[in-house]
Amino acid sequence: MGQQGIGMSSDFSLFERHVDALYRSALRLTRKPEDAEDLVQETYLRAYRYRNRFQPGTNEKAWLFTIMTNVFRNRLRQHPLPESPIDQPGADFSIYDQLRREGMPVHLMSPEEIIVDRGFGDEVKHALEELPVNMRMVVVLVDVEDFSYKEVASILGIKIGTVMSRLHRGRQALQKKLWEYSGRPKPSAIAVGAH
Amino acid sequence: MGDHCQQTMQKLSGYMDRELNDAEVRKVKAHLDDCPPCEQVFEFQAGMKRLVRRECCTDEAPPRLRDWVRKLATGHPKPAE
Repeated sequence: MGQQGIGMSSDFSLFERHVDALYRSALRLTRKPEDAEDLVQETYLRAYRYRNRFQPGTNEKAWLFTIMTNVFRNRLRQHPLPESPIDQPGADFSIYDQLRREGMPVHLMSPEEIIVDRGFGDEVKHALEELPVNMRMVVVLVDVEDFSYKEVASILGIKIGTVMSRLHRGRQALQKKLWEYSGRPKPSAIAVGAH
Repeated sequence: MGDHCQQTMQKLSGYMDRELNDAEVRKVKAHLDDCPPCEQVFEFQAGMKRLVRRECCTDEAPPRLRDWVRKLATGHPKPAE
């Protein structure tokens, strides 16, 4: 029988190292520093309260994110945040395809050059924060926090197939937002050409 | 767009996210080495992923929050359970 939970409070310091990761993800979810701080505090309080349920040797970062996304979803149920609707592209959307249609030398351009070096500051964060929350959580967990699809499925209590479809749609919607920020015509106004 | 291109595009996210098995990785990699257009798509999408990560990793927890968590970790003061 393995040892169950963490008993001594010094073991709790194992969780301490993830405070930056939890905070930056909380910021993307809540969009407000004070709400993010509050969400992270609640997460650690629960982790402390239920620390004897944590299996030593398992992924403590995934455990903390499971707690945080649960707390966040409960709060959201009580106080729904306004969500700006995103128009789902009918066909697949990518900035790469859009630029190719414009005849841009895409192979010579990196996304950094196209998006960031145009003088924007925080547009990637803003675009991410505008995504519907279900897609946003998956994109944050995979692209920012580097969790595997399987870990994300477990954290959010959804199927791997759902992780993959939310990730796919989330990334497309993110690119669409960034495309709009860059001052280019709305993708819906562009005829969808053949690949 | 050939069959190989289409198959590769379907596997591209999995490849980028390191979710494929060894055989699938070899297959995708072999195609990307052979097909500059698909390779460019991959480079671009991988660049997007790096960009999202880089831009979103700049936020750090405020010192106040960090201190609070440290106190919780060291058990001083013990929070109400």
